[in-house]
Amino acid sequence: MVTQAIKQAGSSSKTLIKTKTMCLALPAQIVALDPATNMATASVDNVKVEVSLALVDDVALGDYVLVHVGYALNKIDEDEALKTLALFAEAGLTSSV
Amino acid sequence: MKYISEFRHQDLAQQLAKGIAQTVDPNRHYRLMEFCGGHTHAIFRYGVQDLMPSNVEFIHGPGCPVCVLPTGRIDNAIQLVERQDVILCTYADLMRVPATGRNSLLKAKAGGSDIRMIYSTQDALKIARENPEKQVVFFAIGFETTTPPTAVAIKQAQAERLGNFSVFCNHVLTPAAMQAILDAPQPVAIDAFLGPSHVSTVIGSQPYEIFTERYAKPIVIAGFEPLDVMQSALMLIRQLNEGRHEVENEYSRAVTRQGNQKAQALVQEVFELRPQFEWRGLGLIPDSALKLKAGYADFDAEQRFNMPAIQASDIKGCECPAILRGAKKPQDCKLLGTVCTPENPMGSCMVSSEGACAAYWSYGRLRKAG
Repeated sequence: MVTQAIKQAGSSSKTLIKTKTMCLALPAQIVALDPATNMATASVDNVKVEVSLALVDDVALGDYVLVHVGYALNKIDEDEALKTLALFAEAGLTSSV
Repeated sequence: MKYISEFRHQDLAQQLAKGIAQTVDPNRHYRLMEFCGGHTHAIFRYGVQDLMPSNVEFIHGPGCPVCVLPTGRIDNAIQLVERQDVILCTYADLMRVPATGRNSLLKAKAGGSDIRMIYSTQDALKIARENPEKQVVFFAIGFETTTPPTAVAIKQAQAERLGNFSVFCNHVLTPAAMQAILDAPQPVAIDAFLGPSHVSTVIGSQPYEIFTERYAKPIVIAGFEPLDVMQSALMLIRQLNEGRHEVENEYSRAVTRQGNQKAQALVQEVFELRPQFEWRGLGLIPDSALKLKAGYADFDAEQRFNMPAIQASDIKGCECPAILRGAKKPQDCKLLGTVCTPENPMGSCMVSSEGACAAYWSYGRLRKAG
């Protein structure tokens, strides 16, 4: 039942992106840049949002950023994400050590 | 969905659950406070508690900005929108927060006040540009995550000479609240903290180091996805077993030790500390909130409209204050689910989806029955 909940919740980005809660931020991919206004279009599961780049530097097309109340908060570090995923996989194997 | 679905993977959840079960010492109890409402939400929504051994307890913290805002500040906003010339812009969470006399911004809007729900501070600026004859006030609330977007808007308004725009500032600070919880006269028993996700993307992990040093409490900065929460709990349990108390960073894909320095510099430029600020549940906390600096006073709604300090009391029987301190759980409240529901909230913890009562009511209440 628990894993079922995880499975169901995984598919709800369309409601999440417009969820107007304060501290939540979502990973979104930059799909268009407008340097003149310092704005970008970001995509989560094909839902597009306009985001301000006022709080970040050096964002490029294809980058993943955390989007919070219409602003990119920072870039997501792919290498670090992979390391964390590897830790999850190890947890059940190495914990008795 | 990259960076979302893989952090909700069910096989890995089982793997982590196994790891945690093997790591806990059956002879001790682990009390882990998740500071953020975002974590509370993840714990209830994904059933993380059910994957934990029975001696690992999550204590819900005050990290829900709507929840900790004192009623008097909502009363202030309602007084303000009684003026015909004011358009109030707010994040949607605030609309249903109970004010004095069973009032709310939602009721004020229904009564004819001009209140606009916005997604971004950029929307508030747009409304100000389009309505030069009106006073457009942005009801700014939130922790360190939400403060930089307010700073951007204030700077932009100054650059554009947008004279009809102002900010009712209620931004608050996470480390000050953590300290208040630890320094409380009758502190709640907490062994370790799950540190904030998105607040930490802005402030970094460095500001928490004082808590591991001074209070000897382990802290793990944790992402908001269910596997992040489980991994972080495991890291805390290991620290406690080994007698360590360090700041560790599970959410390293988004958090560094220094945080987002560009955002910090903007906040520094526009805001300064208030000597003290009232938090629901925690009372007056010194140096715990921000106000606009003198150089931006023209955009300070409290000064522009001479807003008074309002002392207001919470609804009788509402356990929000004790729940925000971690002293009580939602199910300890007599109002929960009887008179207090998300449709008709009596306290702020039932309003915001980050609030512990709303999370419990939406996802947790059927746990024991099912």
